[in-house]
Amino acid sequence: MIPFPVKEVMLDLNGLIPIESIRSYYIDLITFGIDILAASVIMISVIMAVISFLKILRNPIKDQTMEKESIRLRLARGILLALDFEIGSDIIKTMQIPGIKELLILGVIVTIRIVLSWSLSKEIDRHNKIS
Amino acid sequence: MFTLDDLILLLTYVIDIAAISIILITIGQLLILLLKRALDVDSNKFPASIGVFHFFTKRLKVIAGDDTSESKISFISILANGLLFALEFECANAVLKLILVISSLFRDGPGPDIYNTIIFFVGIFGIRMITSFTLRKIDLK
Repeated sequence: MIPFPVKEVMLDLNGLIPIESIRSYYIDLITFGIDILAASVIMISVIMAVISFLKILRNPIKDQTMEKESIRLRLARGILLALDFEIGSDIIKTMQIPGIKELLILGVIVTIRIVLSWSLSKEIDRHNKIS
Repeated sequence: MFTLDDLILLLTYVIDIAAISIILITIGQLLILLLKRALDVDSNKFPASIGVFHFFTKRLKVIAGDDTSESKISFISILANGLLFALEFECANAVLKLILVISSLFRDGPGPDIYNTIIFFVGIFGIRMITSFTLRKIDLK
């Protein structure tokens, strides 16, 4: 019986096309893009919040308190969107996890993000119910 | 050449400055309001004291609006609202810093400080949630 040379075939393919490095390159590129997108979303939300805050400073203080709350929740929505992007990026990054330790650390960080995201969405829901 | 790390660090500095400014503005507004109330009380006893802080009272007319609605405002509510607003900025900051942590984790592998970093983030977000909950309870709006 002639044994099927699985190992040799795989090695040959790997030598012909560096699939691993291509995959790693594209994953890095995509996750970098998503990170930039998340950072941009946060930055735009922050800039909008600061501009709105500066605009309401001339209003009476009672009105300011109410308007500040709506600005804050708009910012929270921006953070929530960025967090969703980041969780997506983390999921893609799991494709190139080198070891169990990294996977555990990533899991903990994703859990932190999910808890934060849950907390923010609860706050937004509460505010929507009140208003 | 700007890297992602440099860009995010720059953004975190800017957000920090914005959060500090918001806290300072809130405290300033509170102090002005307190001063105005103190002057209102004082003016009944010592009418001359109005003249001393004439500039402040003139300025406060613009900020505070009509006196009837102003008397109903709770100081704690204003402070709680301002602090919650600044806390939201700090939350955005921590989310940005998490991006840095994750990218360094994949680039250099887990360093010896990774557990401290995770504890730091858990602490930050935990404090944020507790503070938000507590301030919301205090907020009498």
